[in-house]
Amino acid sequence: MKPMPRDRMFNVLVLGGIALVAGSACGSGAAVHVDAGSEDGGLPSEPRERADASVVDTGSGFPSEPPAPGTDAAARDAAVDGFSFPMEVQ
Amino acid sequence: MTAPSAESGRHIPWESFDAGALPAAGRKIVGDTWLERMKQEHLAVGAFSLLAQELAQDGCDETVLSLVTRAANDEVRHTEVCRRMAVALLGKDAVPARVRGLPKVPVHAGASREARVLLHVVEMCCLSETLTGVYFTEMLARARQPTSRAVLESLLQDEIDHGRVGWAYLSWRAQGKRLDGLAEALPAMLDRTAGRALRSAERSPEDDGLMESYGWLARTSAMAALRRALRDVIVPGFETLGVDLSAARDAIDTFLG
Repeated sequence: MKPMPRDRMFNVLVLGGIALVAGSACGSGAAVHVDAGSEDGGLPSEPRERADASVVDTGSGFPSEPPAPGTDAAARDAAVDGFSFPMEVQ
Repeated sequence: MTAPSAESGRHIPWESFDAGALPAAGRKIVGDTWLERMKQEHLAVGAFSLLAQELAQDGCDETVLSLVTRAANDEVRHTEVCRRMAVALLGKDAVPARVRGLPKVPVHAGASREARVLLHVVEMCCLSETLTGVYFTEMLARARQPTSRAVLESLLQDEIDHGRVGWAYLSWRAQGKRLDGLAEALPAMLDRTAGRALRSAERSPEDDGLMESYGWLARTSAMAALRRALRDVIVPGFETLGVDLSAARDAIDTFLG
């Protein structure tokens, strides 16, 4: 029996994506954990003695709240929110 | 030395853009979608940056990490391309010079870090970016105006990679049998992506082809493209990778009408 033809976009997106990691099995060759080298954090290249000064507590979790709405008229910036992952299609 | 442009990449012939054939009402409808897309592309910069952090923390194939970090940069360029399209259609005064803000990201309370990164990649890439890839492909098939076509080709090239990286990561996780939590989360994720896009498309007007020639989809073609993406790409993609769709079946059937 002939295989059923797939949608062209299925081939491009799904099969094309799967092909990118073909042969790279998850779990084979476990990743080695690395960290910033300091109990207090700091950037990876930051010397240990400077790490304390570089730590900024930004809280935890995701940025679930958008910044306060407002428009900086001088710079003509506009704050945006309302996005959860999907691209809004109109 | 010339400063790098946020819009570098495929050449777009902005100088030949002519919206003169489009009545004012049509320019407003098409221009508003590009303005909205500009905002969404900017928010996607934050979303991909978050994914890059999560993937770096949890570990993944290097191809995936490379594509996701690059995607954040792609979205900066997309924001500028969409801004220029909006300006071309609506005028400079109607479009902000730049936007700022971060996305609201599904928290998936109670999920482990390992599960959360999978859910985020699937929602952002396998669902949202895959829908966008099919949607833009349909838009390109209907676009006739040369600048609009160049814009769509420029965006689509990246959107395909943004979808692919999701399927790559899902495939990698499936090989390791690390899909815990996905089946249960899928109905809500489908609603936030396919459901939201379909509800939005349902509110779009119809068109005789004129607006579509400038890079836009009317109600019927938009809904058909989104349903095709779900039916012929996303669902078979999940099935191919052994994702349990039992909890999502009702939502899928509803969206496919």
